[in-house]
Amino acid sequence: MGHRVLVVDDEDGLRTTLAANLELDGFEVVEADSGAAALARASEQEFDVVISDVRMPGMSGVDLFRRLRELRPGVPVLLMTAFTVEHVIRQALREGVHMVVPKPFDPERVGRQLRRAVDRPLVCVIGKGAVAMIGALSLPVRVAADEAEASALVEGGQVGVCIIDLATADAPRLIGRLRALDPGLGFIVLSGHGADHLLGPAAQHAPEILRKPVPPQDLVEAIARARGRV
Amino acid sequence: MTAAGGMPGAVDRRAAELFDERRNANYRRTSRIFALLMAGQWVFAIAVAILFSPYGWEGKQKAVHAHVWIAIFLGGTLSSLPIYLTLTQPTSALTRNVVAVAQMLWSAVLIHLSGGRIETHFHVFGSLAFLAFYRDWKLLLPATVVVAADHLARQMFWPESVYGIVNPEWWRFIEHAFWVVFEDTVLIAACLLAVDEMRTTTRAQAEVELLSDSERAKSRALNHALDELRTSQEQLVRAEKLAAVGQLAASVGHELRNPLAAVRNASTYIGKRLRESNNGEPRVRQFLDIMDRELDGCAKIITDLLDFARERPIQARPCPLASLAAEAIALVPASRTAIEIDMPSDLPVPSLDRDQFRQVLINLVQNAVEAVDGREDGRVVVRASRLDGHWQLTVSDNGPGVDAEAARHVFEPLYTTKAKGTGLGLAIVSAAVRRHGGAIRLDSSSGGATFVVEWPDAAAGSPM
Repeated sequence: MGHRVLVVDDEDGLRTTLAANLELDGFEVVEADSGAAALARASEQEFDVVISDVRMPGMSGVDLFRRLRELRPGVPVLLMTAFTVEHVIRQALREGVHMVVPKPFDPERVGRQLRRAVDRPLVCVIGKGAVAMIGALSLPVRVAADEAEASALVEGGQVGVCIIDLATADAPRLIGRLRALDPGLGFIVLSGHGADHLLGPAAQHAPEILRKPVPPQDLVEAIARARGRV
Repeated sequence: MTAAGGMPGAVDRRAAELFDERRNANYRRTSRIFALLMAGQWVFAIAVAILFSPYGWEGKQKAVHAHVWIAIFLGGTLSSLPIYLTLTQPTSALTRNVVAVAQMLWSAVLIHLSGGRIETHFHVFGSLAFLAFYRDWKLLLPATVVVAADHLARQMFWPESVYGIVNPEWWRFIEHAFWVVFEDTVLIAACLLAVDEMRTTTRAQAEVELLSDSERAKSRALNHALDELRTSQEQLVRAEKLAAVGQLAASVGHELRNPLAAVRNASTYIGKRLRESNNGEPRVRQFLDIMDRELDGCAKIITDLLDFARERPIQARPCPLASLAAEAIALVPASRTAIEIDMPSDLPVPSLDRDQFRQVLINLVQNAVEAVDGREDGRVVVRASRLDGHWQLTVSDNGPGVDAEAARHVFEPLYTTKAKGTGLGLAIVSAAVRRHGGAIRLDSSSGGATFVVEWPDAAAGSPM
């Protein structure tokens, strides 16, 4: 049985076509045409993942996310929006929204993103330096002390994004090694001032690079982007 | 407050300059007059000697030749030095003094040659008046001394030479001297007045000059300001129009994204079902592909409009250019064009707004691909380098290039040479680069088109 996904959008056309594609993709899909309807469904049954529009009459997607977090903690919520970065969306990411899907989208890609949200919701932090920074955020985090631990976590299959501190790990080699385990793995590299040259050729392979000290907002947005890059 | 707007020193300097100029011009003019006068007097003296001397004070004695010789040689001696000086150093004080002395000696000679005729004494007054042309009252002193000395000496030793009679009254020289002093007084006053007036007029002229200078500068500044005002007003009107159009387009774009997403979902679904059912109708498959492509096109137009309508502040963070280029290229439908990334592997990582620079690269690569569309050897190269704290990113194609007229306008919003296009792509690119404190230019010199993006190390740019 596939993952059970709740698709929330007040626009019938978009909702039903997305639902149809996801069903075709192997998901078990439940539709809701409003935030209230979505909450009703969520209280009736469990979902592996929720994807909701942001702008809806009545309850917005962000409000729905906040209610769902209380009702069903731990269920990843993806937000769809026709608007590019908006203040409310940035705030929602800060509060723990899994990622943002810009409209229009490729429904097959959304399928991949939903599947990863269920299967690989974790963020793996490699190197102790980054732990303090990440602890304050509402993220499902696992900490790996070294490369071997990191490899084990990724192999375990629950990790979607790795955060690597350049100061404590050989980022280029580690990225190569972990990518071999999961080609869809997202990477965020934390760089100290002037340490960009340490990245070497690995920098060619599209990791998110953040310069320390990293503002929490930048980090959650980078994680959301890394998750979306599948 | 002086007329020249708080520059009294400048007025004084300029006035002194003008005064010197004017005075020297007068010296030159007067010296020229004296050069002619000296020559004229010489000729006149010879004529007088020839015509009058035999009938002058020596009666009918044979003295004709002696006087003519005096006229020729003494006259020549008297005239030659002042003529030389007036021609070579017309403004020097020495010239003026020599002229003064020589002119008064000429009076003496003429009086002598005319046999002391009282009318010839008027030459003295005329000479003094001429000297006053120099407007240098000090010249009248040596001139007067010469006249006085000549009269006194000749009255004592050779009275008929100066008064035409053998025994003039002893006070005759006092009578002559009185009139000379009288004229001197008048002429000195005239000289002083003339100099004073020259000073006043040159000062006035200096003030007028400087005033008109500052007025001209003011009017230039005013014209400049007016031009700027006009330009910025035009820009403002244009920007307002664009902003209004942009806002409208953006809100329409937003509204279109939902139905677009629905259509896209539907098309994807139908495509999949067709593949599953293995439906043999090739047209249906083909048309679904066309739908997908056109939907991509619509989505791109909306993104362009939104990017253009919103001036996003940049959020700079480390951004490897090679990966960014790869990301951008992956998003450009390239058909069969070869797109290369040519960057040194040790290229440092610049700090950029990733989203905006990806848009820059997508637009540039897209344009380049369209420029070489249909060519067998179509080739697009994305290069990056860093030199002296400056970054350079170029996108080159081997297409037909951009003609000069189009090159002038390519970065203007709504300008397009494509049959299909909003004309916003390069305007968006240009704005994004500007926000990074950089600039973009088009180089079409070496065949094809090369867009060159350059920006400084600290890509903070303006907060716009």
